[in-house]
Amino acid sequence: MLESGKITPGQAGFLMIFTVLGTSNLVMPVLTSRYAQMDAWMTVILASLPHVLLIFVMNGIRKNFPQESIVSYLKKITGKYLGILIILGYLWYMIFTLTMINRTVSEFLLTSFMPETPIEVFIIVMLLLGAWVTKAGLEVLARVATFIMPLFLISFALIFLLLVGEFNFSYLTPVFEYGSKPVIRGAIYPTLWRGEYVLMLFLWPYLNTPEQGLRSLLQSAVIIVLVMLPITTASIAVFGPLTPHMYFPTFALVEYIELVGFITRIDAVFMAVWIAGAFVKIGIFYYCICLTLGEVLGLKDYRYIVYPVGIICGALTIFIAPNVAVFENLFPTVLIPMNLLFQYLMPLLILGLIYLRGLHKEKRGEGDGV
Amino acid sequence: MRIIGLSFAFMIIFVMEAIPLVKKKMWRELVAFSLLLLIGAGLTFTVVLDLPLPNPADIMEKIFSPASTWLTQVLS
Repeated sequence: MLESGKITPGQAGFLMIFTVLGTSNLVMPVLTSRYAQMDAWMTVILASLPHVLLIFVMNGIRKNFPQESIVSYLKKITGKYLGILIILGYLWYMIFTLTMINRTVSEFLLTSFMPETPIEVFIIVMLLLGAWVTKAGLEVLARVATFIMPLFLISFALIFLLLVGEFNFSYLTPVFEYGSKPVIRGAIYPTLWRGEYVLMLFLWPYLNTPEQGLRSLLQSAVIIVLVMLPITTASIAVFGPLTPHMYFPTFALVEYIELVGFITRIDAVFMAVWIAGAFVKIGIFYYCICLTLGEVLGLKDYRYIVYPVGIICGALTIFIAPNVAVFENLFPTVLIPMNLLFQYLMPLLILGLIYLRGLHKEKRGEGDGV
Repeated sequence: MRIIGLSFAFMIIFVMEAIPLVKKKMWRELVAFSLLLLIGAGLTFTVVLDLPLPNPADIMEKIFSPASTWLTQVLS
């Protein structure tokens, strides 16, 4: 165990809310409405089914190995070499996801606010912040998340409340215009974003009361639905059929806000809060990468490899796609299969292997005669 | 110019992190740190100089292409 700090289950729930909402508030209405059209709001609810399943699967895995990190128990479950291979796969998944997050946030800043600035500036600044919070440790990251969370939630509530007069609910009808298949297809993206809860496999050993983790994660899943449902509905009810063709509809919503007739352009405030949320998301991924890599390499402290990891991620962020069009093409071709594999299939496989090999708790308890 | 600046930045990071490691005689950490920094520096120079290195995203696209085409067929 490379981390001596402990976080509360509530803080873990907050961290996980940020891993989902950190970027999905920006891109999700576009990605879902591209397939589900005006039924996009249904995908939010549909995606929470695999999400809840994943939370229960992870709880089932960690219950059998309390106080052990995933690196050490995977070696017990699958054997040494296969375990290392799976962990390396997860490491690559996390590095790639970090680069995708970083690129999304940077493209958002570039197109919405500072079109003249080279994109490298945003990438480096976000990674430097991530490196700083990673060096500070898990407890600091959790407290940053707790501090930003109220602002983050208020920002979404404000969007909904201030724009409720502009809604045109006739855009939402007819329901199931093209049948149910586009809705299921559109639900894939929110499913992938919720699947980032898989990071709890790495963080669960650091909860001070691990048995309460399940409850607080389920609560955070409800909060995510409660945030994403109004946001997606608002995008569709305001922009209607335009939504699939926009880049960042939620941000366009904010620019639409006009307070009591004369206060306009409050988008800068919202951007500050959302970038803070994205920073927490980047911080969590960065932290998990360094922690796991440090444990795989058998280091005494993960803090020594924070900067090299950041340099690799920064270079990859620019390397993976020369422009936005290529970058967007990565979502269906790489992100969907890779994330489904590492977020849903792999935890299920691990859980299945635990039971197949008889490593689960009840069995061991009987063997010990307890 | 960019090469010189980047090399300078990497040198600063190396000196900042490596000296405490040498003082504490943590050789394993020093080796891991140096290797990762070397990979990072190599990647950065590849990007800056536009060297023909295979793009990891393209490789993954090829690996996952059966799965992604299957998913597209099933869902559309």
